[in-house]
Amino acid sequence: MAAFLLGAALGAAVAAGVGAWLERRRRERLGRYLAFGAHELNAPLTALTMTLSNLVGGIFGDVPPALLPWLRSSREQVARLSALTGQLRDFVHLELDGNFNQVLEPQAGEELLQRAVAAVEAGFAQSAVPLAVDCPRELPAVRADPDRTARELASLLHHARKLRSSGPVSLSARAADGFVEYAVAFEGPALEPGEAERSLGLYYPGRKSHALRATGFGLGLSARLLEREGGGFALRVEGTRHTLVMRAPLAPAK
Amino acid sequence: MRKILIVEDEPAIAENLQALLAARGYEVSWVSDGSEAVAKARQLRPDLMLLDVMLPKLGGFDVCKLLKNDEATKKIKVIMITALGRMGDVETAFANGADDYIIKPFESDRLFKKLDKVLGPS
Repeated sequence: MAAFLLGAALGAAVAAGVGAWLERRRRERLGRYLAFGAHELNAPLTALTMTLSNLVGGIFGDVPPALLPWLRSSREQVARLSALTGQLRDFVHLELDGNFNQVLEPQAGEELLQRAVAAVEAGFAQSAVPLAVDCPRELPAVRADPDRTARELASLLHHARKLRSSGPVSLSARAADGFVEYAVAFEGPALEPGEAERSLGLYYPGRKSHALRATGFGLGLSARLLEREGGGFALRVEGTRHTLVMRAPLAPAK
Repeated sequence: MRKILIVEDEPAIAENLQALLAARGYEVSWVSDGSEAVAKARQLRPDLMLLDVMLPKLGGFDVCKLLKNDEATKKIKVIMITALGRMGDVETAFANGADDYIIKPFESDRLFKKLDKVLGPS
């Protein structure tokens, strides 16, 4: 009897181990497949980004002034598409195939902010949402993945524009305690207790119901990516006042 | 006039790069595969190559390594064009002698900064 029980237990353990191994392999294969597809999107996105930038910049000749706002708007939509593709790729690398990579380098704190603003300003103008930027002149350099970090700050601004109920969206930056803090604040919906914390869950946008409408792949992914860079992310909601705080570590002194 | 050789298999990207860099005063040439890139680099001796990683016939890393190990071409500056998040691309680029990298998709101001950094201001 004891031998039978031992055999059954061993059999169950082996079956569980094989099952887990097969599941891991399935996830890795799915991850590689999705990552490949997401990387394939890069070529057409790069071509579109460059074509629109060249048109706006007059590289192909003068553009009728009436067309320029449309081209700027299209360029911003393509930039948003690139950002979403980048987030999808990062999600796949983080959650499925484990191939996440980042390159951290010194980056002017102000430049990072300006790149994020440039990526969203046409959308703010088109939807007549004021964007108030307050950035000190002497903002120190941060250590960040320059493309990904500017992209995430732009995503926070996009989130604010989408969820704002009234008034301007404000973006401010300051250096404190070894970090540069970028804060995006706006008037948005009042939330049930605990909803703000729940909204930082990685799979929050996939929930059947979520009171805080998610944008893109959600704040939880942004938080994970910023933490990986040695920075961080916080969401504060006081009444209807929403503040998204992104922190990037200061670059080491030369 | 500084010479730049673009190595990119996607014509829509290459032609945009060509127009952008020509407007900035560079003399620009373009080839679409790795073997052609090596031959053209030896013949043209550009100041800089913008070299995609994923190329037909011979990959971008191999092209970079070949040129950097050749006395005649090792001084050509190389900026690799890669994709954000692809594991190890940047490390592999530097290990094969690349001078810098740029991540797709990119805006023109970012490209100009890289060019100025590697070549010195134009």
